[in-house]
Formats: sequence, C-alpha cells, structure tokens
Amino acid sequence: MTVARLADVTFGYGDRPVVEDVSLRIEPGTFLGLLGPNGSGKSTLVELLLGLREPDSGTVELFGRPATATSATQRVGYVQQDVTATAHGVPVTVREVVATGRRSGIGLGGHDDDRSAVDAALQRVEIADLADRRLDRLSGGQKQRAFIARALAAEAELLVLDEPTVGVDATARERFYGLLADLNEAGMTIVLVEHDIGVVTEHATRVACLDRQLHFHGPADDFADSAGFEQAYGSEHHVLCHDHS
Amino acid sequence: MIGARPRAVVAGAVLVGTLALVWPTELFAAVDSVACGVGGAVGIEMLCYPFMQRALVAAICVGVAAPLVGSFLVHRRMAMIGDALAHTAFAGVAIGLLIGSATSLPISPYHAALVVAVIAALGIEALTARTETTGDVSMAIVLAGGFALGTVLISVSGGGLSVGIKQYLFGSLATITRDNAALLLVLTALVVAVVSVAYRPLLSVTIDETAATVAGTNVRRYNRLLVTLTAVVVVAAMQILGIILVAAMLVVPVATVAPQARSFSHAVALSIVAAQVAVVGGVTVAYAGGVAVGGTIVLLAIALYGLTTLRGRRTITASR
Repeated sequence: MTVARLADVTFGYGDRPVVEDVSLRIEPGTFLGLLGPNGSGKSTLVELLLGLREPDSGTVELFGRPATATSATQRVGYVQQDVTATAHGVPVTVREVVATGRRSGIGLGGHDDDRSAVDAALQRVEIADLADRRLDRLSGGQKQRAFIARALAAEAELLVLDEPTVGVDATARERFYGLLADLNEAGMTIVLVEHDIGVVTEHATRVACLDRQLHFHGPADDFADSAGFEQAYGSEHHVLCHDHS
Repeated sequence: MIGARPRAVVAGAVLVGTLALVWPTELFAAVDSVACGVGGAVGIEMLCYPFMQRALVAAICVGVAAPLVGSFLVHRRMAMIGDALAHTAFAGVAIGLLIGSATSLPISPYHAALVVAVIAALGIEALTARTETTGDVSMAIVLAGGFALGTVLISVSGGGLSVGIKQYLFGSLATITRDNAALLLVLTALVVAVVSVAYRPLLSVTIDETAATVAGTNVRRYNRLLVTLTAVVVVAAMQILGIILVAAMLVVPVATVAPQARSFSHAVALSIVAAQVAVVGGVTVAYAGGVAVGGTIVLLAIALYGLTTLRGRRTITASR
C-alpha cells in the first residue's frame, strides 16, 4: 500500500499560495529527501502530509486514508524542527519520553510489553545507557535519537523529520544520518526535510524539490543534474558532497 | 505512574472522595479523634480544635492537588492561568453572594465560583485554539474581565458584599466549614483520580504538542481537561489561600523542585512534598503567630524556592 499520496495539493495563507499543485507518491521503504530554498513551503507541505493542515484544494492520504484521520497519523512518527528547544526545562527522562509513544490514550496501567518495547527502541537507536537521564541534559544528537526511539516504540511505519539537525554538531549529524539509513534499510519509510542538498543526495534514495511547486521528484542520484535543481536554486549553485567519516 | 501505582492512587482517591461525599460527619469525627489523640500525645494543642483540623485537612488537600496540576501547567508555560482563573473565581464569588443576598436560593459562593471558573477556563482554551489570540493574551483578557465583573457586581450591591468578600480575597483559617472541607476533599480526590488516569497523554502533550497531535492524541481535549482541573484547584484552594494568592501553589512548588528532579514523576512527587511543607508549616505559623494564613503559606513556599535555587547555583558553581 502506498504510504502517502498527495494529489494536486494547493495551500496558501490568505491569497498567497505557499504550496501549489503538488502531486507526490511515497511508496513503502522510500527514503525521501524533501529539499527547497528557504520559504519554499517545505514545512507547510509536511504539515499537510501529517494532517495538521487541510489543503485548500487537492487531497492528502496516508496509508489510504485522509491524512487528517487519527487512524492514519497514528502510524507516523514525527521529529520536529529544532529538537534542542523541545521540552527544554521539563524534568522528563528519555524513558518517559519514549514511553509516551506507546499509548497516547488514557489508562491506568502499563501493558507488559510497554517496557520491553521502550527498551528495544532505546537499544535500536543506541541510547539505552541514557534511559534514565533527563532529556534536557542531553546533546542535540542524543535528543534526536530519543525522539526517534519514541517513534519506534509507537511502531511507526513512516518517520517524518523536519530539519532535525538544526543546532547539532557535524559529527553527531553524520552519525544521525547513518542511523536513518540503517532504519530505512530495515524497512522504515522516511521523509527528511533538509536544506543541505549534499546531505540529502548522499543519504536519501529519492529527492523531492519544492519551491512552491514541485520542481523535481525522482532518484537522488539524478537530482544534481536535473532541470528541477536549476529551477529551484538557480544555475550558479552546485552540489558539493564531502565525506565526514 | 506506570503499572499498579495509578490503580492504587485512583482507588485511594475514590475511597476518600466517597467518604467525604457520603459520610462527612463520620469522616470528620474520625479526623477529630485521630488528630486530637496525636495532638494530646505530642503536646500540640491546635490539633484538638475542630477549626484547625478542618484548616489542616484543607491545606493538605491544596498541597496535593495544586502541584499535581501545576506540574503540567508550569512546563507548558501556562503558569499565569491560575491567576486568571482566580480572578474570574472572584466574579463567581460576587455572583454567588449577590444571588444569596437577593434571593433565598441556597447558592454557595464557592459553587458559583467553581461554575464561573470552569466556564472561564474553557473560554481561555477556546480563545487560544480558535482565534489568533495567543495563550498569554487570552489569560490576560480573562483575568481582567473576571476581576472587572467582580468589582462591578460588588458596586451594584451598594457595597454590601464588600464586607463578606474579604475572606475570599485573603483566605482564612477560621471560616472553613465542615461542608467546605468535605467539598475540598471530594475535589482533590477527583483531581488526583483524573490526573492518574490521564497522566500519559497529559505528559505527551506537555513534552511536544505537535508530535502528540500526529500520534493521535486529542490535544484540545486534554487542554480542556487541564484548564478545567486548574479551575477546580483554584476554587478549592481559594478558601485557605484567598483569591490573590491561590495561583502561587500551582507554580512555586513545581518551580522549586524542577531543576533537581530526576524525572517527571519524581518532580510531581517532590513538588507535592514541597507544597505540604509550605501549607502545613504555613497553617501552623499562621495559627501560632496570628498572621494571615494565605500569605504565610506562600512566603514559606517562596522561601523553599529561594533555598533550593541558591543550593542549585552553588552546586553549579562548585562543578565549574
């Protein structure tokens, strides 16, 4: 089943369209890098994809259901922009954060499998040793992993990350993208919103390039030489890839 | 609060709430017997006075319910909502007193305050969710509107209400009736039970509202629940702390323990301990010194905050 399908989606604030006539399909197992210049509508497109906004026209579906349906978004894990600021000053541990992914509803007791699911998620993102540390005492890279562990504990099938490496140092960023590649290889569908073209073309399997309209959607390897790249960024830009390893 | 603990907490809250609701006379007779027995054994005379027993019961209830709800409010940057609802509760008290003086209807000012505060709480939530108005502006509008309505109603009464309203503004040890103490027990039991059941989604919304929405949590429902619980706590605490100081117990104990807490559940537990020190200490000092109880409790709570903050700064300096 197609994970996400956007058909002729247009959305604007007032009379100004931010996203215009965007059609996009995301198939299971895809690692999609969503690129675009500042103000190109990337974050708005993510909000439409997550059902946080309804399009002015067109349709957005997740797992064959309208994206605004709770049953659809429950299968999505979301890591928002600037994780370093998220829950700042809240005395919550990594384990408590990850456990909120298990059950969002009300209830009196923990299920037996909750603790083991949380432990497994923490081990998967290699922060099991930080389980009882406060979230606000972690580095940006460790915080990202905690939020991804929450998505894993929730058994999310689609992971959406909106510029997750803001405020994170280069080494942690590289390790983080390595983790995303591992998760993708294990079958997780990933949508990564990024401004760094080199990072996306290096790690994602497919690229979508947005500048209000969708200028490119195809294999990551084809993006740098595409007309869509030139349309979005201009002819004077070139993609430089560096090896941080 | 995972596993068997919330079940035990809810069972205890239901038991206490039921006792207070159905058998208040028997419950306070038992309180009298135990308190006076302990007071006689350790030489604390005030424990044998029924009005002090009721004041202590009320204080302990406030010391449980306020930081429990405040833990979610403070970490969602909603610390000022207690103040806003306290000022609307003032309007509710004025409405209750006005109706009581003009008619023979048995309307308690506390009941009227509860209704008005809950309506105001839902109003703040709706203003923030449905309009471009930000949360702090919504709170400021409701705070000012509530207090303005209260003052107008008092002036309409020709000043007759201004005498009776003083106890609601500043709180009092002596005026807590058995019925009001029983109501406070029921409201506290309700708050404890609801927070225990909704703990996980409330925490999820506190950590990251957007991610909670995506994960399928009905964020607006839990926002409404939180502001309604706040209104309940504000009216419950008003009896002893007074309208002017009631918001302090939602905020100060939580702020006192947050930097040192190991986890959120640990922070909730520690904030209740800090609040108990302030309320029980405050009631005792107020009785012994003949000073205002609400102010004494809040000053003690702030003193605790000052001590822990200074200690925290010393620890940071030493570790550098």
